[in-house]
Amino acid sequence: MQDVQNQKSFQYLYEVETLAQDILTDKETKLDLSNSRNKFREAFRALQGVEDRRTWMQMGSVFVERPTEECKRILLNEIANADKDIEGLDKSIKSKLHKLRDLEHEPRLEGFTLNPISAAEAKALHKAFGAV
Amino acid sequence: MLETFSVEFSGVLFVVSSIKAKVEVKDLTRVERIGAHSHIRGLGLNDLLEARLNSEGMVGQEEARRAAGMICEMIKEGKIAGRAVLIAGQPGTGKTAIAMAMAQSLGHDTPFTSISASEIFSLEMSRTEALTHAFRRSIGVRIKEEAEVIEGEVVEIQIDRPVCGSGSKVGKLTMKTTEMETIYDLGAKMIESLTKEKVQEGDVIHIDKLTGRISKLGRSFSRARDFDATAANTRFVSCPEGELQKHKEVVHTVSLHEIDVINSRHQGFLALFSGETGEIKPEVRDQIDAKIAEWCLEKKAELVPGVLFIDEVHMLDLECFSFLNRALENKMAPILVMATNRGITKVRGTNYKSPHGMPLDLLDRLLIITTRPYTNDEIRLILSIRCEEEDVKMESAALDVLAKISAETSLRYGIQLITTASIICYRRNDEAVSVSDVERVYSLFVDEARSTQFLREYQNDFLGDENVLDGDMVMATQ
Repeated sequence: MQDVQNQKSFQYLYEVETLAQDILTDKETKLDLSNSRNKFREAFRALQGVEDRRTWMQMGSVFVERPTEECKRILLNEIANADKDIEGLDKSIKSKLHKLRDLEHEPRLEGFTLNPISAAEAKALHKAFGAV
Repeated sequence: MLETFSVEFSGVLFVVSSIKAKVEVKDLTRVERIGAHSHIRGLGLNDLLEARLNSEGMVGQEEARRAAGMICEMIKEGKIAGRAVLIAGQPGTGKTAIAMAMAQSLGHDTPFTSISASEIFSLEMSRTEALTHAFRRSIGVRIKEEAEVIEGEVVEIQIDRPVCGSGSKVGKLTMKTTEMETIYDLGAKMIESLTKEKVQEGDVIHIDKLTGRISKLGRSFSRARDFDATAANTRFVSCPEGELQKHKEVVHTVSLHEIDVINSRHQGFLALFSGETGEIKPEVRDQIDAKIAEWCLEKKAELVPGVLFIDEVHMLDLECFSFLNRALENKMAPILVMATNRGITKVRGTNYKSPHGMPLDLLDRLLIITTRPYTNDEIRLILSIRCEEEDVKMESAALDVLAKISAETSLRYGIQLITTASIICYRRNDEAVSVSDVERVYSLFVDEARSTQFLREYQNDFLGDENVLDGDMVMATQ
């Protein structure tokens, strides 16, 4: 009987800890992605003002020289990919967090599954109710 | 009074070995009606919804608490919207206490409005209007707002004015958080907002990406110097953590009543001339209902039916009761919890007698919970809990005497004696209230029975009606 209870406790702890570790890993990944997105953006802005026809780009340990337009396109692509990945990570963190709260017997956070109201409606709401 | 609260979800904080969400719950106003019930934290039920003898501030009354617990469960599952419950029992048997306990156990999310029936009578507003306000205040609407924001500490602002006067300014803004740092290019509009807000290096700012609005959250601690001359309202905040660009989601819960008030206010330009009656037009309400229903279909909003608690419900008259009948049929009705201590009495304003002073057709729709008088042990327990709550130390013998007094007179009278006895004890420079303190205070403050006795003996010496009959003196409290 004792053994069964111990088993159950271990199982519970295992679930909680793996979920928490997952959330932490996702958070780290999101941070790195955000960092690299910033760098891409800075690079893109830097290329905007440049006059040369070709630009050198460093990918990992390889240097590549391409026409400036193509470099800009590559950078924009990377930024869009990073955006998509961050969004995906956000969603997964959110669902894992709700699950973790459930496991840890904390009260549910209601309302986050709703569709958001539009910016105009939000503005009207804030104006009507004052700063909340 | 606005009763909104919002929950923010913007990322994850790591605490020891478990994850806590960065959740901020701001409860702006929650009106506590009676201080006499501040010791109640919940219904005190276990997982099987059975009442524990002394738990969460509630003592005894197992049956009534169990019933109340079942109703709370049904409310949480959203199953009994638009139904009504009546808690009936003699005075001092814990009716209001059970209602307070239900409010606590339902949590912050559920709107709980507590009124006394006599509050709805006023010269400014008709009774049905006041009741409608109370009903609409107990129904909440949950909406979610989301935004992309950039939150960070300003490291450097560099603005270049063009050499020739006709060009526009360009600039660079370096922002950082504890984890990263980056440079943003600024356009003309952003430069204008920055200069307008007087953003400096070391300020922690918050930029809404969509609207481009900048707000200052404060100054960073790392830039605080002893010799700084700061304005009186300068706040110091720590450097933000995590990513610079965050996706923020805020969930707001507002009550229908607030939406009514705001909508009728804006349309009320002419009301300034016609005189503000305080009454909200039914057309406004219908429009609002329609809009909310539309949003619910689009899953942009959620209705949160709450609880409306009406105490002393026998004070309502016949028109109010018919209004209640009708209001309960509405599909957006909250759960109505009522309390009364009347037995078979006349319905107010009429001559016909009815149980609890309520018409039979309303009684038919109710789930009735009865409370019974407390036993001596329970009274003693309750008094000891109140002593703890009011921070009064009492000797065991004194508590026994007080319990005996309460059993013979009433529980409320006993509770009143606690603080008064503690004052006498304090005057004696003693720590714990003793039997003599209780006796002294018992002789100083008479309870209802002794007061009535006293009046009977000396009624001829009092001012007022000469031929007062015995029966009129004693109001029917049963």
